Amino acid sequence: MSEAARFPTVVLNPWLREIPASARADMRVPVRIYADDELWRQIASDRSLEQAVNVSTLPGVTGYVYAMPDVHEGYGFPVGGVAATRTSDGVISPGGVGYDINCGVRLLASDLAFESVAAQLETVVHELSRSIPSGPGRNPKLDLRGPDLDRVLQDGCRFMLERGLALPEDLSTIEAGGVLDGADAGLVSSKAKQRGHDQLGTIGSGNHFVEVQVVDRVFDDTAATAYGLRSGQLTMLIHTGSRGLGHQVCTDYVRRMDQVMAQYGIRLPDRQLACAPLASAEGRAYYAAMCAAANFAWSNRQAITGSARSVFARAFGAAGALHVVYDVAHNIAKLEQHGGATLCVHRKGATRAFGPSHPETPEAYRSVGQPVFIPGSMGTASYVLAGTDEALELSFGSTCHGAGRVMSRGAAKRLRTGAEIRRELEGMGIVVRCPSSTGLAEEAPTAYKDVERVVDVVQGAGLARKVARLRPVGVIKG
Amino acid sequence: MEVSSSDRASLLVEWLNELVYLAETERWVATEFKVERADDRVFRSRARGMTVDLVPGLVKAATLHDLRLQDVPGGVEAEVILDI
Repeated sequence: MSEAARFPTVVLNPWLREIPASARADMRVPVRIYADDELWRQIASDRSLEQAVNVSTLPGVTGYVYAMPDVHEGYGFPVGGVAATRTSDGVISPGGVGYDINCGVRLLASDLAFESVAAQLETVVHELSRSIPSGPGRNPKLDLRGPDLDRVLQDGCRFMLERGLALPEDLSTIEAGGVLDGADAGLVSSKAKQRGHDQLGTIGSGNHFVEVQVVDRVFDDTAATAYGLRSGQLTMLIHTGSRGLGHQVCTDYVRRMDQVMAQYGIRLPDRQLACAPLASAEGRAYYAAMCAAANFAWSNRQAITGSARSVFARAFGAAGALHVVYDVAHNIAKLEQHGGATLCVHRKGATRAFGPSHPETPEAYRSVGQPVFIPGSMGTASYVLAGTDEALELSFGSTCHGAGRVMSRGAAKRLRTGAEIRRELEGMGIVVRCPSSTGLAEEAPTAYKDVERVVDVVQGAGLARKVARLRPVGVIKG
Repeated sequence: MEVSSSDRASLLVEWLNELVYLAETERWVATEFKVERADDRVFRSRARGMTVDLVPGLVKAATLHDLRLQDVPGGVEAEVILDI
């Protein structure tokens, strides 16, 4: 039986469907899914809906559990899911954030027109690939241990600024200024620190990448101007997270919560949803450790920014300056105000998308809303969106995070070889640097949903609006 | 290597996560195992392995998602999903 047939569904509008809370006895709130007919068909073909229904059973969950149009099956929580829990009687779940804590996206903009530097593209992409370790690569140039690593965990990009690894203006256009104040480095295990101490400034593997891009279409001139974007401009998109440090924090706390759930009387349909009350010792400890890992991730993207700036400065001199358009997390749990209450909003594979009126939208973007970046699959366009005030009511101020997989990594590898993908991308004029052909095959564009359709749904539903489209010209894959 | 947990299935996950940790931090991949103790709460093993320049396929973690372990004639059969 397909997932769609298993649950009664109400179509609320062309972009929104609802599974009522009566669909299964253990649901506490309804599930709302943003999708058009085609995406709905894809979503219903895996276990995303069952997983979203499972999330709706978490103690203290409130409002709706949301599934974004790029939702796909994950571990416990679906990827592309949003769930908010009350701080009074609700839980926090490491699985609701995921293993890659604060996986996110940072967009850098240059003042260069792509056409004027196209001849240097191959050299620049090659130099970026030499300066930014990918795959299992480590970064011995920024090997921080002991008190220095603790400062990264505690103070994130504030520490990077102190160390001369950030410009003062960078911090004003990073979500939360690149540091969550609830962090406690003492609650991050020595194993996690051992995994992460030499990984700042590295991409990692999986679907992570650094892309050199060109702005090939502007949909909203006012917002694009506010973000410092214009047609033909050279940009760079960084997609990575907290690396092994974050993976270990998740591992440590899934284990801890799995062992204490019964003490709190919590029974769940999927063990990977392991959670503990936000007010409990375990809940508070995970939140503080997750904030520390999030700070590490923002520092990681900051360190990569530093490497990119060095490469651009060598290649283009002062004309190669790169400014941070924005940096936004898509795997995180945040304490936020919604409807007069403080809620813990879990976004796993979902991006915060606050509108012009929200106090956390950076000053420079108050007229247009917070920037949101939606990477396409490798070789396809990415989108810059702007958050809307309506999204607060529609999705706890959240939108999608990417194209979303329709095919497992294994299936993708069986369909196409890495060499074929490489030839195809190079045929499109895209310079590719990837240490692993297998990695290329796993990320083949055919393994993903159509990002344009995903973005059209979030715009149609009012979760965000289109600002610009970015076309890749250079890809460095993890 | 000794791990402890509340049941046999999660012991397996704990043990695999130790191997993930060693692969990432020490570039060490186990190739041969000798189980010294295996009960419902504790799993102790010795492993021989080798250091490698590049770890083939990085694993973030072994997960509890759809975790399954059952006795079968001559041993146990388990299914563990790895996050990669």
